[in-house]
Amino acid sequence: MQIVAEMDVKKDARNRVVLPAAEFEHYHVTMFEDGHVELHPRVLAVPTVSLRTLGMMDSAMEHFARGEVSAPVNPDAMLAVLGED
Amino acid sequence: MPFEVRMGIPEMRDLWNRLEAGARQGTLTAKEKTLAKKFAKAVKHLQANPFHPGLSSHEIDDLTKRYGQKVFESYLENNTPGAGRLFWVYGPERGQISMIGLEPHPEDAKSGAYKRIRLSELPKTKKEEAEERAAKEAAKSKGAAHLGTRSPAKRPRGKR
Repeated sequence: MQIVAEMDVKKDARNRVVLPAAEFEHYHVTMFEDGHVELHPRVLAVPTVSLRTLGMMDSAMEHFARGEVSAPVNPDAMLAVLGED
Repeated sequence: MPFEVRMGIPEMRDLWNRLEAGARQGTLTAKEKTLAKKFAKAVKHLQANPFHPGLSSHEIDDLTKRYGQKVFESYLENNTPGAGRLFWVYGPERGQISMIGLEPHPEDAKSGAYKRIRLSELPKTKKEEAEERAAKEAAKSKGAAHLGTRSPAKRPRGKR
């Protein structure tokens, strides 16, 4: 892979280094025991939803608009049955 | 003041009831048990504080536009959207929250294959389609009425 920039940087009093040539907003950082550090760019995933989930929400909102929803649920009861008090 | 959490009809309500019944009867699979625990814990957090840090609740603008009221998404597991996402709205009454969707859809989680859509490219709702059809019909009948008042032999001035 071709190198596009190479530099020496010094960390500041707060253990930060500046990457003047950084192209991306987010990076995944891996630190190794020999001291070398790797940064891999990350891009936020485009938010998606399943068509089935969208259909689920569409029909729920149709009912919601008419004030139709279930009775209140009790999560404590569910957790007690699952042994998670 | 805690919120009252209710389920959207029909699928979220049916899912909650199925998980609760399965938990009582001891018939849940391991995956369903995990989902039930996470779901119940998330609902418990929502009751106390919909913006509990563990939920990472945030508004989803595309869904807010679609339904005409604020729709929020919360994670089933702390900072892990991949573990499952809950969609909810405030209401229908004050002090209530209604769960309207779960991603991945329980059927998708079973079958493994499902069509996905970007939130920024949601298809029209039935209401939007009906409004569009009505607008087209109105435009058609307006045009037809206008033609009906003119004699076909005569053309209006200035028009070819």
